[in-house]
Amino acid sequence: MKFSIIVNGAPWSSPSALSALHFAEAVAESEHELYRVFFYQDGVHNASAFVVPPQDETDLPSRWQRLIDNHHVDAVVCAASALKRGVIDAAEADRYEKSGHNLLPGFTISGLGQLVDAFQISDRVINFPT
Amino acid sequence: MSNDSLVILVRHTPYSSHHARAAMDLTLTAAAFDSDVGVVFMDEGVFQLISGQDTGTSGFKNVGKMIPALAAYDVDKVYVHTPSAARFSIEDEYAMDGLLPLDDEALKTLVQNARHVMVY
Repeated sequence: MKFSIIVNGAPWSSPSALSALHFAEAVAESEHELYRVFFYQDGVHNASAFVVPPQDETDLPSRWQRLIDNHHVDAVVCAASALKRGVIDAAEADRYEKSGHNLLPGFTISGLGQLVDAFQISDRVINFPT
Repeated sequence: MSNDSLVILVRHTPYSSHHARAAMDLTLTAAAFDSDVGVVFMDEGVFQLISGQDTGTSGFKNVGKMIPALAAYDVDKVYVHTPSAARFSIEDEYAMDGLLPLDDEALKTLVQNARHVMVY
């Protein structure tokens, strides 16, 4: 079965992002296919390289990155959600003349159409609200 | 609705959060990608349907003007959950014609038959 996952929560603001990560890891390690993880609304903060968690707490962006690398996960960050929250890649930083960029490698900024595509292709889309 | 349908349930008032705008964005994007999309205004979400919304200097975009324009983007399945509208006594204040009424039973059937459901 093809799964896609929608991550709405920022790291540490609620249990939402951690729950989504646990579910994504479980799907990736199962016989099912993880078609896409879509980082939406406050969930875009999971893709920020500027997150510095305390040493004794779960580093969500790194955990996502490990999952993406190990299982070749298509990790899409909603462009409209990300840009207005200050999560940007090098191209957008250049385009908007910002002094830095913080999108972690492995994540891709793209449009809401990628979420619609996930709905069209996936058997199940699991939304993790905040 | 076909098996490819996406049903979007809109449950929040228009200007208390970003949910109303986000729901409209997904609805329009789904329509642009030729998805079979239906949008249901229910619970406090029915307040998005009332006419005369004046966002003034609030900084919000006027959702009340976007919803009547949905038909222009080929979104013709715009539902109102009638028990919600009755609860808030707004049945005579809609900003648009052509809303499809849904009672509890019809809502249940719509959700059961949808391939995907997104809640805002």
